[in-house]
Amino acid sequence: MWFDLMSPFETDFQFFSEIGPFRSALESWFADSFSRDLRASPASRFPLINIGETEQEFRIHVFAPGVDQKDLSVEVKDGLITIAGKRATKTEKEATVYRQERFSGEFLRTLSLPDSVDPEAITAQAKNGVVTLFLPKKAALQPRRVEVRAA
Amino acid sequence: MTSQQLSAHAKPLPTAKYPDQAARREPVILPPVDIRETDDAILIEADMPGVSTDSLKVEVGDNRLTLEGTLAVDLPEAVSLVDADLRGSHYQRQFTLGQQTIDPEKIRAELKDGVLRVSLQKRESHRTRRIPISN
Repeated sequence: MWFDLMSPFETDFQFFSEIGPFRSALESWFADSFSRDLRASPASRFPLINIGETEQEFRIHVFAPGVDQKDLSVEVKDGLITIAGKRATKTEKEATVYRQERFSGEFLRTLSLPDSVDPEAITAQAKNGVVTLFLPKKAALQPRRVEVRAA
Repeated sequence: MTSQQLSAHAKPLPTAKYPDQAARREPVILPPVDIRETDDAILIEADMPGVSTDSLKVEVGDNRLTLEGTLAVDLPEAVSLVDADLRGSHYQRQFTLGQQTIDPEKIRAELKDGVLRVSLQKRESHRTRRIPISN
């Protein structure tokens, strides 16, 4: 099971159940950052992360455009996976800045690993600014098809 | 609520400015941009992770610069989404260009590691000239 680091918050939000019409809006607002069990840190703007699952593995897509590979680290420790790094955006002298929407600076995101993942077998691959982490599940925990034979 | 009311709600929102956006059910991703102006050019940088040069479109026309691309990541068939910060797979953003300022023939675009850099050269007449002052 995914270990939910944010679970203490859930009790704090119990009183929202009284509010009625607001409830669903609030829940949908908070759902992404609090009650989804996978996420250990609230959603931050950078890098965005998508997580997919198949029977054999989990795939985490880290959208980190323009991050140098030497500036990015992915660490696994104590059942947590930490994606950290920095991105410096260019600055020219004598330039007028009209918009600065892109993230600049240091970032860190932490996700908790489910027990089914084999931490030794995690691999990563970068392409077009997307870092894909492959997290294979332990063989023993993968679903097995049991054949039923006619007697 | 009657079914008629429901269908009225289901109509695409008036924000569907771009014709193909209404047809597409997926949300359009608005890439974040940095825009800077130097003496001789305007530089636009856009975060478009997962876009390859094949699916990228940078178009100029009708006083508009359009950036478009498709987010493509390798996904196995039997994948189910556990959690997603980023929904949709189509990036699109448009800017109005000052045609008197920008030379449409001199627009360059470069895509690297999911960051698009577009450089719009200004016409000679609109560049900043520094005039040396002699003693």
